Amino acid sequence: MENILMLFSGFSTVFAFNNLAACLFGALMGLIVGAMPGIGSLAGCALLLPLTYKFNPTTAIIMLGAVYYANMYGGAFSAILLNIPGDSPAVMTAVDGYPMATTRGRPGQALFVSNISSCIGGFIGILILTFTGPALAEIGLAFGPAEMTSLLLMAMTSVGWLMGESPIKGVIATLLGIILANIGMDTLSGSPRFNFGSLYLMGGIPFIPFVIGSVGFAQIIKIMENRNADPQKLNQKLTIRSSLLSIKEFRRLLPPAIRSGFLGTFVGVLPGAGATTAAFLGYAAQRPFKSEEPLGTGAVEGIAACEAANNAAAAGAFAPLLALGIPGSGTGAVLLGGLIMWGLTPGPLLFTKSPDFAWGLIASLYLANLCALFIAAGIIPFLVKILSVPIKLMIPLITVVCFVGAYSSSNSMYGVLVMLLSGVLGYILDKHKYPLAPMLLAFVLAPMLESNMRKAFIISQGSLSIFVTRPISLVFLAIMAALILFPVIKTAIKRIRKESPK
Amino acid sequence: MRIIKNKTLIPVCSGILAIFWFFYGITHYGFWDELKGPMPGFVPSLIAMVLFLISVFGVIQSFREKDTKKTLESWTILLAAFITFGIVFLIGMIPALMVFVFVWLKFYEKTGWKNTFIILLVSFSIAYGVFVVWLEVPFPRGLLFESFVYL
Amino acid sequence: MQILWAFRCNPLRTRTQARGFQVVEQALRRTKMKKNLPVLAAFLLAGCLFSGGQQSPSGADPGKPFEPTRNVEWIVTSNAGGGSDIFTRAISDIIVKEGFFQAPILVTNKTDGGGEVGRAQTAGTSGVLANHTLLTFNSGDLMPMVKNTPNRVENFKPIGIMAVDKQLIFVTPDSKYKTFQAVLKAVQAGQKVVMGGSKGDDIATYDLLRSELKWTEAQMPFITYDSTNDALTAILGKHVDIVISKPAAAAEYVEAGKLLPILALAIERYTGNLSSAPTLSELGNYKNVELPVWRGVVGPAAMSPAAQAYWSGILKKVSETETWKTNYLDKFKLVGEYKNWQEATEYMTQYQKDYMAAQNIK
Repeated sequence: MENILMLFSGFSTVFAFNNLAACLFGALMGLIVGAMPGIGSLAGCALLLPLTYKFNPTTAIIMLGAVYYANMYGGAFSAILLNIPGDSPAVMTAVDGYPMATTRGRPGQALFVSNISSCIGGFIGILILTFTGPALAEIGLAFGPAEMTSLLLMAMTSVGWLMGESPIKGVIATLLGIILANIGMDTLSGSPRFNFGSLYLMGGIPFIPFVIGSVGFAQIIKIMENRNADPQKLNQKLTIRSSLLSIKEFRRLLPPAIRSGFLGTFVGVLPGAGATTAAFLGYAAQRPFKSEEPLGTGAVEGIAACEAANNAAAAGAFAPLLALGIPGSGTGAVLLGGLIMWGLTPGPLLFTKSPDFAWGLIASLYLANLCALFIAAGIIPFLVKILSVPIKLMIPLITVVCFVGAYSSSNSMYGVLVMLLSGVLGYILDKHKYPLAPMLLAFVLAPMLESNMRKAFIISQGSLSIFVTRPISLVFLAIMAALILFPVIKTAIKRIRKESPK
Repeated sequence: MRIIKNKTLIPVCSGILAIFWFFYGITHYGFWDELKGPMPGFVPSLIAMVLFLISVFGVIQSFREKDTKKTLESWTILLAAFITFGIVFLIGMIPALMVFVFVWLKFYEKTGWKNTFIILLVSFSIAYGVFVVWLEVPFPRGLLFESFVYL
Repeated sequence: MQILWAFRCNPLRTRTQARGFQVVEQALRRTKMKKNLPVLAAFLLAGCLFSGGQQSPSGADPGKPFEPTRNVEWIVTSNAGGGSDIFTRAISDIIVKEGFFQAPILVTNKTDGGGEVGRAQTAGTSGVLANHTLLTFNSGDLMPMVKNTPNRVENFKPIGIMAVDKQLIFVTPDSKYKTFQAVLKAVQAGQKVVMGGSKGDDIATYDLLRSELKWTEAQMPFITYDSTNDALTAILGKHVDIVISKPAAAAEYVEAGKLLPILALAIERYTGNLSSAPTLSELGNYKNVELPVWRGVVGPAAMSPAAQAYWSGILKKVSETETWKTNYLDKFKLVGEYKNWQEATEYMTQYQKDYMAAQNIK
């Protein structure tokens, strides 16, 4: 109850004219920055940080919060329309979003599904944040190396649901992702691995150029073959009305969006996990459920699952930041830096020392979520026109975007080189029907899994017992065992049933 | 007749990579430490081992597949992109990309002037307007610019 | 006018470029890594392709005092928003605000190869660019550089050190160990105490502490987290027993009663709410353990002495401003300790020597 009162006083802060304007401006900036490949929310917030020095801290953080938040919306735009994820949390959105926009010819609906799910996921995250407040952060603290290891193991085995037609190809793609992620600095020993003497490889393969290349540029190589075909025939005129979702489709996106909303908030609170991890897990969790079209071929449920998850995680990540002063992500770290610059000390005392500020921020998240939804909805009808441009004109344009995006992620030509090479890799894999999603998922999750597992072993001095003596860890391992055994038992029962009538 | 067809290429490559990764990982980074548990080479070699086994299955499976069509034309964009990559060092990022767009559309695709210029304009406004002016990304300016224009 | 300049100087270009190669080659020879061809290739790539070719020679007479004549590129090897980035932008903001010189400063984040690429590029920069290139360089940058690459402090011209920091060991108030004596006792009784901390500086201090206490890694294992924040999360969740941290990151938790300082890794006790933590020598027959964490600035090896002195002077001016003290040092709880280029050169070289001796790097 107290929380709600505080929230209302927060709303009264936000509805001051300058705060409202800051929120709208931030949402617009965030959408644009988010849609630009290579510039994620981290760079976006860092770039806009100096702009906010002149504001008072509350206005400034409201604007940055809106930027951060709207980024998650914007990233999906380029993922759906160009198959180039605007930022890393949108990687999974491209998997279903691009086919839905192109092969199914429904770009407007794809964008709306992504926006509405983002909004639902975001609201779930913010609501949880409001009612549990600092307590939410405590859940994250309970997750040590052993718990994270078991959780990630469970998540990685559920990659099995992502494999597509050929399990062998799926496994090869997954393992290739892990092997590529091995390259670079090993945090625990502080020494480089598999860099073969190269200074560049010492820092590993940068994720953003890797994704832009293997998904976006690979797509360009692929469509070279049929570039002289007519532009996508869009089966409706491009107006707001024809882009709207039917009630049936809205019903379809609701269950995955709500599920992912809760899952995403939880992942956002965990130490070291962020919106990208949440999107992957949200998508993986969608696998066991039915969808009208198979996942990966333009399913509404697929878009909804990952978009809701990444927005919810963005909200969840605020919990440790506000309550404990621990940034859940790189962007969180920039926000933290901002707080310090304004003379506020985020940490366990923030809620008691400056409640106006803390609750003003939470209230602004509600507003930012709505702002982003409306602005996004307003520009969707214009955005979808991109797809009516002939493909052969789009090829050089998208190549340019791949170049500048890959360069901008680390300000170096190395990024562009990685983008080009992973474009070749992505094309060859795709050509031979190897699924890319498990490779990207493994690339993100495997390093987290490895470092947590090794930390757990250091604590237990090489003994496996740490994974079963901790209750949370044991629960995840049990779920994992169930996930693995379930299909086996199911087929076994089927077989017995088949044989019994004889 | 080629022995290794396109379809077999990926599992064969991943198998070879796996063997290399396994031995490199074990010999350079260590596998298991008495007190600390897994060493830096643990995960890579373990994964490489599994990858090798799966690759063997992959090779076997690939014999049952139809071979994919070879399409040389797809690679022209890649070639163009790599040439552009090289030109960036000479004349800088934005000019190199603009030259690429122009040459590609006008001489490869034989597009009309109007469409060529529209695409040029759009790509310039994204690359320069958004990334340089607004986001202040310091793109490379190239050898020519550095040595003649600047000081 | 400018174009004329360039033409007149152009014939000299190859010579300055060659000097850039020499610097890199010398570095490799000195460190006996010549046999390692990939490293050589990487260095040449870094040194030449990306910056080596970009220069035209310095036109200034050697005797004349240096004055920046073009954009100043300030390289930061951390992400935007990281510690080094905040440090650099704080300094450049003060320079711009106070108008110490007119040339624009471009802060560039070069994070490739964990920052090693940016450091190698800076080391190999030559010509007029060398006088206009600065690199933020911390003890936390020096350690991985020396450990993993043949690049050394000698490949740079140190310009100054701006601030130093030290560390403390913390526990949670409900921990098994409420004092460091309890930790000492537990380890002597055969228990193992797990320490958490960040990379670089924290590991080096941990090694120093362990060697002073004569403990093995098994008695006090260290878990490396990606950042101090991650390490603090771990101790708040009780996944490690003790944690090592700089005061700034932990101060707020101490104030809120969530962390308790139990050992100051310094020659003397801290003041304020950290004063309850004793130094190691107070706890028995030990020497105090202190490994200063410093934040400094360096330039390329090819930077002229005049430019080096000029930049050192600018940093001195910055360190004397009120904004620097209130907006940076106080906010991040650092100790302002300006060292000019001579002192910084000596200090960094000695630091590298000590580190290499401790880590058995030749």
